[in-house]
Amino acid sequence: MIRFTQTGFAYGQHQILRDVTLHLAPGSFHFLTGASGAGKSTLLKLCYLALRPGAGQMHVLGEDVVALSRDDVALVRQRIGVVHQDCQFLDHLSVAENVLLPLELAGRMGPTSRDNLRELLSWVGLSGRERAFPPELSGGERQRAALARALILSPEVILADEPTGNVDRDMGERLLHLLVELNRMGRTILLATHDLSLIRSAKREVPARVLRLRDGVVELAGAEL
Amino acid sequence: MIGRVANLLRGDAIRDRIMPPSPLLGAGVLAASIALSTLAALAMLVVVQVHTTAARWTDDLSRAVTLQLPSGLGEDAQTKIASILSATPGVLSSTELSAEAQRALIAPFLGRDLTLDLASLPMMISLDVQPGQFDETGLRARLAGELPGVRVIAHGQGRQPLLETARSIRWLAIAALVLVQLGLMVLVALAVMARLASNRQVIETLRLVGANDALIERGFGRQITMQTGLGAVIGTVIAGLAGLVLPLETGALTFMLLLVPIAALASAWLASRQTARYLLRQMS
Repeated sequence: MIRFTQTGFAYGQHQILRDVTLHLAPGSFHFLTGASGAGKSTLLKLCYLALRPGAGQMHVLGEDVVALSRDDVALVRQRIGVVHQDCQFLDHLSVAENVLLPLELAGRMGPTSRDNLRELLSWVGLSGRERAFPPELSGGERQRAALARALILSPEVILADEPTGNVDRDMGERLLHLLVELNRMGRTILLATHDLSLIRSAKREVPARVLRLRDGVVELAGAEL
Repeated sequence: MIGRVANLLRGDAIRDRIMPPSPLLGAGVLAASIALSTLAALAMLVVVQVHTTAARWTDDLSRAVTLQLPSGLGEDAQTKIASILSATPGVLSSTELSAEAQRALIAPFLGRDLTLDLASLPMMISLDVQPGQFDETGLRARLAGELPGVRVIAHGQGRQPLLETARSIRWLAIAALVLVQLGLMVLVALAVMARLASNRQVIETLRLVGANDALIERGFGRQITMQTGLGAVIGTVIAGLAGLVLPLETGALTFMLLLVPIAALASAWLASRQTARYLLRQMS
């Protein structure tokens, strides 16, 4: 699904990732931990093609990332759902319009899209908030709206970068539970977080693997958790 | 190409909706476009008007030739002149200037009240000739041989400085027109840069949800192109109204009305697309 082969990345002279070799199998659940600045967000950005590797090889959904054209990058991104800590929306569009946006951009709006939207918003607990605008939402509602937007195209992979960073503990648990449910439905999940209690909580529900980024290298860190 | 223009004018529901509104920048682009397009349209008026006026003047002058006969020439001479003129190719008609016409001719210089002995003035014959066919050299040669003292004044000879002046004015106006178009393109490029810089987060979000750069580029480009196009139409109408109070040809006005907005729209489209494309590449 996502494969790094001796992949490296640097911002100028500052090496962030070196010789990363990693395989996220279909239907797997991975946590990515590490200190602030260790490169968790960079690794996720490589996964959703916001960055391209500086060295080595990388394949996302079977595509060689280095060889992809700019238009093909957009097509691959439509198969990946992304949720950020500081989730961004188009503030002049309503929640419903924001969530439906990936569907419209992919040209996949159909007669059942509105019904699917209502169902999805209900599932993430945002029923009745369709007409609200992003600045009117609370932190938790924004995260759930971002999750709904990430899911509207039924992506094969869901990448979450500190999704519980701006919400309280209960909301964090609720978001995690939604991601666990998605994983049970067969979605591949990669969740970057430094919240160890969240990881312990998830490991009780799914066989998640924990990866740790240290000095630009990814290592398996599940045993101590 | 026609499809692209139609697409630009028609718009697109998603593309137009995803672009956040920017009323202040939009108003600025509109106002600047009105000002520049008014200038462009006025420059265009000058080009077309100078061209048509110079063409008319030179045409009129190249048709006019005057024969100046010394005073006291007898009837025999006049008959000989008529015979020479009828045998000269390209002479369409000849008119002897009457006493009244001669008075009118010198009135602007010497006044109407001046008492003159017209008999002492040279006699004038005005010729209407066909440019290109008129045998001026032959006429001069025959008159010099048979009636020395008769002068041939070809007014077309004086048109050269007029033509050169008209040509200079025309080039100056075209240069002004080109500079105005370049100014418009720079304005559009700056507006696109401002829009993209202030919407960096929107661009990131759009990319995140699967929008390709071509769509983003067209979205931002269309907004600014349409504002520029609207400004060009308004500017052209303003210049057209100014043109109505001037003695202009309707043909010139119509030509100008069509060309200025089309040129503005094309320049804005090109500048906005190229700028947006370049900047989006830098942002990736």
